[in-house]
Amino acid sequence: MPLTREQIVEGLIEILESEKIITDEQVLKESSIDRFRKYEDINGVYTQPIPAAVVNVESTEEVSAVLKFANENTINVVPRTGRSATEGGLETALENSIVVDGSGMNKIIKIDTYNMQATAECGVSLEELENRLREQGYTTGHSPQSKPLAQMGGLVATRSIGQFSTLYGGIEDMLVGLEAVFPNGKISRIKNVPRRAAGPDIRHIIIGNEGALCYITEVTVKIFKYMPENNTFLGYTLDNMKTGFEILREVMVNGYKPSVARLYDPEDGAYHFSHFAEDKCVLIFMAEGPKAIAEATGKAIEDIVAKYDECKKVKTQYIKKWFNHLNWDPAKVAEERVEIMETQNLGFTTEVSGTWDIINDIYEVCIERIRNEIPDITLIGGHSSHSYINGTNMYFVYYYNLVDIKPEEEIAKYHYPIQDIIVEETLKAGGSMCHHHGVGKHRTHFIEEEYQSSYHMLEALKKSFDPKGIMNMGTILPIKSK
Amino acid sequence: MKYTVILNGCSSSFIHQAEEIRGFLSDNKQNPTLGYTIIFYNDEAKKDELMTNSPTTYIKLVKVIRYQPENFLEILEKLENNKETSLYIFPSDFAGSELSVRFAYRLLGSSLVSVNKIKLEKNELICHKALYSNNMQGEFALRKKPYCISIAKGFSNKKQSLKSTKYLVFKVDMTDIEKDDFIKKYDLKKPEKVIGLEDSKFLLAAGRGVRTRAKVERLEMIASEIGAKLGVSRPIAMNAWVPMNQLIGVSGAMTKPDLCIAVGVSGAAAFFAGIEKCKYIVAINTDSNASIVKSSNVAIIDDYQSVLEELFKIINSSQ
Amino acid sequence: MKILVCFKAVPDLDMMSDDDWVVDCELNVDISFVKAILNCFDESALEMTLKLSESMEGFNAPLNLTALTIGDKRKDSFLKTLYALRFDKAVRINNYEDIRFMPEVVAAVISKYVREIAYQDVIVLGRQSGEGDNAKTPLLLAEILGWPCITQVVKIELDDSASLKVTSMADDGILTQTLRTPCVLSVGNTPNSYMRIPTLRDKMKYGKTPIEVLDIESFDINPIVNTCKNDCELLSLKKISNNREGFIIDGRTPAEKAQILYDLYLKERLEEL
Repeated sequence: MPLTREQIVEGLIEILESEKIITDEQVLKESSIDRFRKYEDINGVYTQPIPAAVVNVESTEEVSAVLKFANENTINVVPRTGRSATEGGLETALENSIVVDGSGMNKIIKIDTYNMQATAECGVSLEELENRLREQGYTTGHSPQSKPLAQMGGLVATRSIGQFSTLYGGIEDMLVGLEAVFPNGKISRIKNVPRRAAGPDIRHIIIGNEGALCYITEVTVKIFKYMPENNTFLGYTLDNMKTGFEILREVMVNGYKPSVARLYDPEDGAYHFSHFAEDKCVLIFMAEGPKAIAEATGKAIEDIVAKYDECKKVKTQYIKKWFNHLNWDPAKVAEERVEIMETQNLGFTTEVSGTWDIINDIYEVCIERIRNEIPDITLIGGHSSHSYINGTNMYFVYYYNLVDIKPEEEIAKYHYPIQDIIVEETLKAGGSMCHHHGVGKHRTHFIEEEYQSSYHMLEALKKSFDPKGIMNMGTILPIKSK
Repeated sequence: MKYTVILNGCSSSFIHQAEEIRGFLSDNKQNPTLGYTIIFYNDEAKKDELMTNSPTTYIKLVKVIRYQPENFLEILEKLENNKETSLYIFPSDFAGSELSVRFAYRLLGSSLVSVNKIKLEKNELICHKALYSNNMQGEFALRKKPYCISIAKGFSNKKQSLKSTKYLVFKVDMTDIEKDDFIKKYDLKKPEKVIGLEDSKFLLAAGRGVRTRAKVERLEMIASEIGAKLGVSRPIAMNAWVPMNQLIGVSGAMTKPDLCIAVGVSGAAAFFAGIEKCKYIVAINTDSNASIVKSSNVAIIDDYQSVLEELFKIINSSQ
Repeated sequence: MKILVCFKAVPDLDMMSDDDWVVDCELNVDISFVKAILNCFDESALEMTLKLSESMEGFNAPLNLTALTIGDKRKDSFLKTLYALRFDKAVRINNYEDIRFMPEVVAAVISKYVREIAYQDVIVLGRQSGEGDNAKTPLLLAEILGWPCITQVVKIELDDSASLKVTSMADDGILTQTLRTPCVLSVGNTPNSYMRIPTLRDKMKYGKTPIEVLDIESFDINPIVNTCKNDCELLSLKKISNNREGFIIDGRTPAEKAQILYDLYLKERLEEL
């Protein structure tokens, strides 16, 4: 017999002080979802199973005790920190789940400027860590749009990436070591070393596990010298995405490492750039680092772009201004909610990746299909924001008017059909369906196709580390009906 | 030089109009000047109150049927065709700013709205006012007489009163002026609830970081328990979560409390103008870069809900 | 009934940081690098008119809606959006002159448009916009045309083919009047008036209707510009600083921070209230 909600709460009270266990109904309802269901949230309609409790853990030992209790009683656990998830990763898909909130574990444990690494508890907000580092002349190099909200545990758990990734890489390139707790309560530490060839890199079991294997309690990341005075901004307008992808490729292939390399199509760019680039694509670069490197990188990119007649350079002030207002802060999130209610217009994003030879085709076919197949679309566009030597990502942005639907019908009528077009076309072309948001709970029906013959490895990980199936069920892997 | 103040005695806000004009005049003493006041009224019983609150001892009382800008303008044109007055001063309310502009047009003078400082020179009037949504202060020279200005909000100052018993009063009945035949039906409803943010000593100000109607209602509750009034920034008011008369800022109330706790407020200049005269500002915001943090006396960087609920407990238990 | 809505696209001043407020020798502030948005009162005016038009679907005497703005080519994107939202006509009066503090010029141009180019029954426009913050255009427009003006309008409904029911905020309460046209309606603080968003299909179908572009020179504005420059001249412009101490309370938990705030900064002040 599974435990009732009351028994779960009673069991938790034996482990933790009662004020750390939240059972307020509104809090529980809001904890059953993330931003994927923002429209339901705004309307106060909650369709997911409501968790039995939210627990505010304050130490690794507490996490361990709660997981052990959940494992023994087969209770689904949803780990969370900064709550900026957008793909359903924080939804409580099973009845009577426990949401384990680590945002109270917010100590910066050590900033080691000699060995150039910083250690923080899972609930340290990236913004706070970054600000602390900058005061001392260092940076994490990590700057996702969610920076004002996201916290270190969640960033590692979702394989996050930031706006400077072309230079610093994704979180997987920054992470040195960590501490995580497994469902049986086992606390596991992976030590902080420059590199090791002692078998497979087990960090990669944990990075991107989305709370479906373990609970990350502490992370150590690399730090870098912060030299914003050397930042060089470059911006161009152009007519075709295809040209833009060509330029991005040329910059990468020739070995340059701008921290920012972004290409916007006219629809997506209109929101940010309409005041200087109406109906144009926009290409943006930022070079940073030591002065000589930043200058050389900037100069080389200028030379590359100069070969393309269709590119027109824009004033750097435009680019700087845009850059300073890129991040989502709580105020912007709230403002968005107001406007959704008022205009009945809702927007989401889906991010995929592909090699240079397929990315433009993926972009074109998705835009074309969504335009033609989806009703009430008000905007469909996208940008590439993370480039690699062999390819880049495509971040699709879409908005639609909500016409004649109840709040709970929004996802099936609009969001799923759009997302599925993007995922289908990307997989068909040979790209990846998730570039940096994680799988969450709404792309799991494609996961076998994403992994193909390596899918058994993923399944084996789940079976091995979470044999009773209590860790964030329905995330990455679909829930199999018994 | 002669100046004339125009007040709308038909309005329930008459005393407030008179107070702010007195405040403005005492902050902007010009010499040598002679002041007159024209007061429109429609209720004989209120005449004493109108006279004792007049900012000048020379008073012209003009009887009308009700406040109607087209009629007021017609009357002013008739009464003030003698070109004796160089400067007309109107209060900061809707009526004042409307009349100042339209009257200047009719008298071929120059006008400026929301003026916060003046200096009368021989051939010009130097005026200061906020521009760029209160981010900038501009200095203008008006050069065409008569100068017609409406004053900025926030000059109300209860301490000053003329305390004179010698009033020179002229009365004129203008109830026959009717320039309002374009109105087929007219219905004025008093607001349901008077908030009185301007007079509040303790203000709780909520911005767009407060994300739902339910959360705003919770703030209303906390505010009333701790003896504060709740005011909101534009995004909240635009969402109709509270009545528009709880809006703080250039297009709402200009407050001057002793204490203001601002939660989830970003601190845009147009909002901040509404609490700029507050003696002590506490900001609670998750974003340390929000401009309200720099504009506060003391700030807490955290989720406003958690902090405010804790603070509420502390204040409650200490009372 | 023919309705003209006049709007202005303004810089999103919330995007400006303290050191962006640089005043040049011609008393200009460079705001070209921040995004342009609809002036909030004008946005309300546009949405209010769209709601009015929507409420009249099925009536046999539909509204004819024209949107007008004064500015350079970069304002066309707003006009295209208005076409997609089914405005009948979108007009831009091409201008590169600095008329920030010349509402007299704006009012003169609009009145000329209405008198000489396309007669209108009603003109709807926001009460104020945030560069000049003059708050004079609708009032001057009414004076030039000799029309009545209702200020602080928050709602417009149809009464009959030649009259409107208009709700507005007055100093003494909420005023509802039924008015004969013509009139000028100056829009104030209006809840629930974010402008709706057109679908891509409507953008493709209607958004490409040609914008009527007129040159401001043809409105013979030079004499008014010269008068404005003399009658109300901007002498100086400086940034308003709102900075205070901004001391940040340090603490581990919200409860700890609240306690420090209360003990050190609030207790005495609350007692004095």
